Amino acid sequence: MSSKAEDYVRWILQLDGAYNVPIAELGAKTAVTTSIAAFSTALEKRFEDGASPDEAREFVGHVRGKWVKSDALNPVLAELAIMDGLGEEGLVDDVPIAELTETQNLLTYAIVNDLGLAGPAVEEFIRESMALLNTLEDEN
Amino acid sequence: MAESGPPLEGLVAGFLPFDVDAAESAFNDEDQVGTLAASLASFSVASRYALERLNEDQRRGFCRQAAALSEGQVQAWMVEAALRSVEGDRDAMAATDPSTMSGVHILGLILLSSEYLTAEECRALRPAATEYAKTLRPTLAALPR
Repeated sequence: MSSKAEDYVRWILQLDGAYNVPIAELGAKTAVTTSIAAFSTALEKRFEDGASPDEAREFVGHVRGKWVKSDALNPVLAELAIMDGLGEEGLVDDVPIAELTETQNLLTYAIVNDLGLAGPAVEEFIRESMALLNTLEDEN
Repeated sequence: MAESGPPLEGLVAGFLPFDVDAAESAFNDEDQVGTLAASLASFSVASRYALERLNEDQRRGFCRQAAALSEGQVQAWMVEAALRSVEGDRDAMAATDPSTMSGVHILGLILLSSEYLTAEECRALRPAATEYAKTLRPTLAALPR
């Protein structure tokens, strides 16, 4: 039986049968940490050696329109969210958490689909996200 | 169509360097198209001039400083989006809220005038800003309002 956090990742990935887990059931803090865990896992797969701002920009240009509606994702914010996710600090500290989470979720979806992860690979992705979530929650 | 309000040159002079009273007067003027053309052109010319000499970290610092002037209304990434927009990136402002973004170039002008450009440099940029404002004006006038 999956946890609420796992269900939330399934919803981020828009998998068949996924449902929009109410934040009231998940908890705001867990929702944010789960988004970060899934996003970090996705970034690790797509940019295992890190990325320059130009590479992040190129990637965003590639996925906007293809996996995410262009009018749903600002390219500058997306690029900075990626660089921030890869460890560069101070780029998105002033972005309201709900907006940043939404951006991260859109990018997670885009990365997983762009990598063509399906079936067992997606399940593995979810397991890795949950493992990272546990680590992040332990740190807090 | 007769040009209404103060000529663009006069409006640009109030933005380069940024003069609070002149800017306030411009924003209260009937000729809002002229004010918008002058302020956008001034921001475009001044930011491209000043930021050319900045490295990536310094540019990010500029964006943070400009955002800080807004007391929470504007975030640093929005300033970066506005900068890219005046540098020619037509996609940079996609999915942004127009009313939030509409004030970004003014924050930029205030910061450029106070921290990044001397008064003399600002004055030297006026002719280029005025010329650019003249080309922007008809485009802005044609936008639906």
